Amino acid sequence: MTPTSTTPSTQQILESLLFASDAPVGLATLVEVLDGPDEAAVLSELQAMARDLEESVRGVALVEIAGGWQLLSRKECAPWIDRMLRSRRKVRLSRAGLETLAIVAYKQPVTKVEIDGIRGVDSSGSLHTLLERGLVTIKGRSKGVGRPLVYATSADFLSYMGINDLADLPELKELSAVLEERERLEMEPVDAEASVPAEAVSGGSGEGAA
Amino acid sequence: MTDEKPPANPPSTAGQPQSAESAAAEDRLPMRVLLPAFEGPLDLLLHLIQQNEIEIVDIPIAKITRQYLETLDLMRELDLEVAGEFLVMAATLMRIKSRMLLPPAITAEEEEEDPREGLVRQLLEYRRFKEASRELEKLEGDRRLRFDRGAPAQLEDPDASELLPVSLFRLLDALKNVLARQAPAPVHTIVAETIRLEEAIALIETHLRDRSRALFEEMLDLFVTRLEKITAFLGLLEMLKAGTIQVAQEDLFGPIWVEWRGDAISEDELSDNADDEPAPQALHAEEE
Repeated sequence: MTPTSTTPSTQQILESLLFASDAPVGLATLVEVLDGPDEAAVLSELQAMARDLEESVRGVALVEIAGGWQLLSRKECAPWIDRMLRSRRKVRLSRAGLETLAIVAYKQPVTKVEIDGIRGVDSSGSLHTLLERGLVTIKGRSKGVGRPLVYATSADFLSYMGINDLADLPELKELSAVLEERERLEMEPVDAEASVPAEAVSGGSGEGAA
Repeated sequence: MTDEKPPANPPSTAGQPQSAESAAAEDRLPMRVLLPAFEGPLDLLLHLIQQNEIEIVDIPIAKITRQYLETLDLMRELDLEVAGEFLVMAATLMRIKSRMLLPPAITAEEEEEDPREGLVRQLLEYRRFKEASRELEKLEGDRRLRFDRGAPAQLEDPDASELLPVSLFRLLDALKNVLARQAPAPVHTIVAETIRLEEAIALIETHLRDRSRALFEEMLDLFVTRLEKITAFLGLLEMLKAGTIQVAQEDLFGPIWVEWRGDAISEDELSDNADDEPAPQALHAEEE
């Protein structure tokens, strides 16, 4: 409890390491730096620390994020920190940026042509911004015609979204499910089999062709 | 954006300040002035579909086409830029509409495809990702409530190499060699997308991260055309300047290596740190 002048405890060292880093620190790095306790031991120390911070309702919490561990402020304190840092905050992503990022995140590795195809618009600008902000990287080149660049999300993406792993992304609705839903819908309404195609402009239902 | 409410004494924690306004905008107004900026034709179509409360899979194409065109007119009136993609979609809609008017194929051996099929798929696919992007937005918002420390971390110590420094001229020579070697091969000219400097840098970075060191020439092999190679070269210079890479060679006229230095700050700082840090002893002693 009382800090002695001699060797600090593992707990103390861990806390200081996490404090000294502004990026998530991987378990392997911590084990290596500590050079003593094994992975399991360090992990349980971390978990204990996270619990302690949580239970004693401190201003910071220990969070598992982007494949590592990081001390972050509590959500509830955000307004005050905002007030202090105000101008230094990065802007949020635009809708176009988020759409593009979602496509990259779920379809990676993905080419720009594929992204444009899904969005129905040119995505150069958004991609550029995402690259610049380090959320997306270029994974290499596809073997397809013209050897287009292929994009993927970066490690910073995980940190930016506050998740530990890509598997933690919310699940993407399966297209097949959507299509099944559609087939079901088609079965039901058996309107008068369009003898005269609904030509009227105010088309109530444009059924027509099977 | 958030200036309407400079937080009073305790800045009200509740609520979600940023999304409030956008949520209000999305509220279905009885008017037909729809001014959220549309991300593209698919976005606009989805909006119309939602507004009409109809199913994507069964679009009343005539009605939607009319509303779509009206919206484009409105956008023009308001002097908004109407991107080419919007016009392409207008044409697509009209084509589908006219095909719907044709009587079903004569001997419909195989069921004729609904003319709307392609569009429907596209809309469904787009909607999936649009929904996903909302999820990401939530994650982003949550994460933004948690702050980390601002200071740069310096965790890794890129192992010092025993290679020699290379002069800029040697680098230029090397580039010349690469360019010279590029034979006018029987290339089928495909309109290649030109690569941006950022993209070149990102590609180099990815390549180097995997192996931490690569031959200069091998590096440039990643880039196809002459223009791309030059862009890549500029990228390398940029990275050199930023200190994220260094170049070195084993001996004069030897091959040039490009080495990943990570986000290292500067040489001096690194070696300083390394030097005066007394090796932490006996950390494992986990005594009371």
